[in-house]
Amino acid sequence: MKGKVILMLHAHLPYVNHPDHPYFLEENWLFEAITETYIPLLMAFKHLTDDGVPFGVTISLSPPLLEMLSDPTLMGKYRRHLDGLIELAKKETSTTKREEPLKHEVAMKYLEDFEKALDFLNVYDGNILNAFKAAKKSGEVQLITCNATHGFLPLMKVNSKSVHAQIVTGVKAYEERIGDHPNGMWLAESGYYPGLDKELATQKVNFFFVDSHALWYADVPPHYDVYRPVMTPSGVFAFARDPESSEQIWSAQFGYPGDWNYREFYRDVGFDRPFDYVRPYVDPSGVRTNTGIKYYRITGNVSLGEKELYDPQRGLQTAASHAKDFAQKKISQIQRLYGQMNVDPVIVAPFDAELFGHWWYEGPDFLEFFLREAAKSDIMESSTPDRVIESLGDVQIITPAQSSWGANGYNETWLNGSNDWIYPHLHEAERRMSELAGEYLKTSDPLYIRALNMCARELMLAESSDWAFIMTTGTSVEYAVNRTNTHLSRFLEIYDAIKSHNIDERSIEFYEWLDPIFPYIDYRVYA
Amino acid sequence: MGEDKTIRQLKKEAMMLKIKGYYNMTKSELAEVISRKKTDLSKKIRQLEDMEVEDLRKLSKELNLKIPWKSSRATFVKKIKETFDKFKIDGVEPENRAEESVTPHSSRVNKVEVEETIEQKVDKSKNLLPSSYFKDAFVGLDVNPHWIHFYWDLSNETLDTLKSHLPVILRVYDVTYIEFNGINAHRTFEMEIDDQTRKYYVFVPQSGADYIAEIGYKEGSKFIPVLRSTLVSTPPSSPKTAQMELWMDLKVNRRFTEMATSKKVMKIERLVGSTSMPTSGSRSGSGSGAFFVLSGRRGS
Repeated sequence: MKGKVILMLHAHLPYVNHPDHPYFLEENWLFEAITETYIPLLMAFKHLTDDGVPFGVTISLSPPLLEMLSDPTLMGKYRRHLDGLIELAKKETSTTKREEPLKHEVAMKYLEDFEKALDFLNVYDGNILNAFKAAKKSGEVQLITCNATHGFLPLMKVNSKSVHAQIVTGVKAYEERIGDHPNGMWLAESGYYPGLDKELATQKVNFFFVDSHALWYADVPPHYDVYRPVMTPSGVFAFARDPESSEQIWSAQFGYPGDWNYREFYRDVGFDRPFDYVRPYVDPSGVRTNTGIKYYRITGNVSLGEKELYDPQRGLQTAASHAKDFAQKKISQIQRLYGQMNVDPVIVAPFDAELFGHWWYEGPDFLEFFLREAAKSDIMESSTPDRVIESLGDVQIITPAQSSWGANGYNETWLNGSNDWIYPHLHEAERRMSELAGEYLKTSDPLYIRALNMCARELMLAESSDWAFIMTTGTSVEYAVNRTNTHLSRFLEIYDAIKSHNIDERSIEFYEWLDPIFPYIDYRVYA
Repeated sequence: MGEDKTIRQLKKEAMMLKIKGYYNMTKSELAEVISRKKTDLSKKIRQLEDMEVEDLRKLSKELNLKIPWKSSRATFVKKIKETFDKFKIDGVEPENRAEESVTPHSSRVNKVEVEETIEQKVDKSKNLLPSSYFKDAFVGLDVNPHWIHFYWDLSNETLDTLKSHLPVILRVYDVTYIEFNGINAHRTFEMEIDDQTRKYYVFVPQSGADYIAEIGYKEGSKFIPVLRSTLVSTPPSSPKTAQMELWMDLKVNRRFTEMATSKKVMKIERLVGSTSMPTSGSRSGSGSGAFFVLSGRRGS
C-alpha cells in the first residue's frame, strides 16, 4: 500500500520546419529543447535505471515533436547547431580564464553539458527518438501520444470529423514513429469535452488527462476528489490534475523554480558579449538571440544588470533540497489523504516538459533527486497510468466536465479578441476538408490522393493550438499569424485546384517538401 | 492546355500579359512564365477588392494601363477587372495553368527557382484569406461558463434580406433541455447590431446551459429570424449533487451502484485575495506553456 505520484511531462513544440531556409530563428525552439530538456531528462532517467532505482514517469510526445525529431534535414540542422554551441562553449572557456573563476567554472560546465549531449546523441545514432524508445523498454518511462497537431479540441467540436482526424492521426503518428500502440493520450491543453472520450475509446486509447475541475464539476461528484482515476461511460480512464502539486512547482510566486540560487534565464551571452564575438552563434541576419550559455543566478528582485554570478554547486544543492521538500510534502499529503480514503491515493502532477531544463535549468536534477527520494519512501512511490490502471479494483464511472488547463480553466486563452479571427477560416477549411474526403473517398488517382493528403496536412498545421496561444501571449505573434495564414491559404489553393480539376503536380510536390509532416497521413479520416 | 499551343500563340499571350523579354524565350520557358504570371494574376483578382489605392496604382502600372493617377479606388478596380476580363475573352484564363506542358525539371537549381516564385506568392498571400466565403454560417463557441462567442458569415441573399430590413437583430435563447421551436426558450435576449458586424461576444447568465442564437429583423413588433446558430453549451462551473454513484468492478467487469457519500476528501487550496477588490480577477493558468514567452523574438 503506497500512495502513487504520477509525474506527467508533456513534451510538445509546434511544428516548425523550414527546409527552404538554412537558418530559421523559430527552429531554435526545438534545438534548445533537445539540448536543455529532452537529453538532460533522458540522461536523468538513465542514471536512475543504471543505479537500479525503481521509478515511474509519463511523457507525452506530441506528434509534431515526433515528426520534427524524425526529420533528417531538421536533425542535420540540429547537429550543426550543437556543434556551434560546443565551439562557442570552447571559446567561452578560454575567454573566461581572464574573468571571474566562478564564471570559468560555469563555462567548463556548459562545455561538458554540450559534449555530453553530443555523446548521448551519438549513442542513439543521432536519433533522439531511439533514446526515448530505449527509456520506455523498462516500463519505468511510459510514453503516450497527443492529438495530431495539438489542435484545441473544445473549439473544434463543431466539426466532429476534424476532431476524429486529430485523434486518429495522433495515434497513427505514435505508431509510425515509436513502433507500437499508445495506451494513453494527452489532449492538447488538457482540453476535454463530454463525448471526446468516445472518440478515444474507438481508437483504443485507454486513458487521458483532465484538469481538476473536470471532476469537481462532473455529472456526479467524484468519490475521491481528484485522487483516484475515474472511468468514463465509454470505458476510458481519466486522470485529473492535483492542484497542490502543480502550484508547488509551477507557480512563479511560490514555486521552486524562482529560487534565487537557480540560474537566471534572461542573462545570456548572446546579449552580453560583443556582437562580433557572438555573431556566428546568433541569428545570421544580425539579431542577437539566446545561445543557452548563461552565467548569472536569479539573485533576487533585481534588474538584469545587478544579477550575481551563478554557482552550479549551490544550484544543485538547492535542487536537492527542493526535491526533498517536495517529496516530504507529497508524503504528508498522501498521509492526510489516507486518513480520508480507504484506497491508495493517486496524485497526478502534469507539466510542460520544457519547463525542466530549458527554463528551470536545474529541473532535470530536481526530478532525478525527487524520484530517488520517492524510491526510498514506504508511503509513496512514483508510478505510471498503466501501472495504476493495472492495480485498480473498483473505479467510479463519471463523465468529466468540459475543461482545459489554460488560464481560468476553459477556452479563453484560445478564443479572445487577439485570435478569434482564425475560427471562421479554420471551421470553413474543416468543412471543406470533409467535403473533399467524402467526394474523393474512392479515388485511385495518385495525384488527387497526394493533393488531398496535402490539404489534410495544411489544415492540421493551421489547427495547432500554439498559434492561438502565441497570439494571446503576445510574443512571436507575427510568426503565429503568418503560419495560420500560410497554411490556410495553401489549403484553399489546393482545395480550389482539386475542385477545378486543375492540380499542379509541381506545386503539390513543393508543398510536400515544405510541410513534410505525417508522410503517412490519410485524408479519408475526414470522411 | 499549353501543349496544344504553338510558340506563336504563346508569344501572343505573353505579350498581352506584359511579360518582359518574351520574344527571346523558348516554348517551355514561355509556358512556365505565362503560367506563373497567370497564377499571380488570379491571386490578384481575388485580392483586388481589399487592395489599397497605392497597390492598385502599382498593379495598373504593371499591366501598362493608362489610368489617371488621381482616379478613385473604384475606377482602378473597374479598369483592372476589365483588363482581366479581356485576357479571358482572348482565351487566357487566369486560373488555367499551363505547367503540364513544361518539361519536368529534376535538377536542384530549377527546383529552387520554382520554389522562389511560390514562396513570393505565399508571402503576398499573407493577408489573402477571404473576408467572406459568401455562404451562410453561424457558429457559437463557448469562451467560458458565462461568455459565448458568435461569428457569422452571410450569403449574398441573406445579406440582401437583412440590408433591406435594418436594423439587424441578434437574439440569444436559453434552450437548456428544450427542443427549441423558436418560441419556447427559457429566456430570450435581444440586441440591435451593426450590419457590418460579423462576430460578437455575449454574456450569458447560466453556466452548464445550452444556447442558440438567431439573426433577423423586426416586422412591427414581430421578430423574423433569418439565420440560426449552432447549439452552444456553456461549461459547468459548479459541483453537481447525486444520490447514487455508479461504479465498475474491473475484476469481474460488472457495474454496480452505491449510495453517494456526503463525506468529501479534504484538500487545502491556496486562498487568493487582497485587502481591496482588484479591478480584474485574474488567476494564473495552471499549466500551459511558458516556453514561447521565453524563447520568442525579444523586443520585436
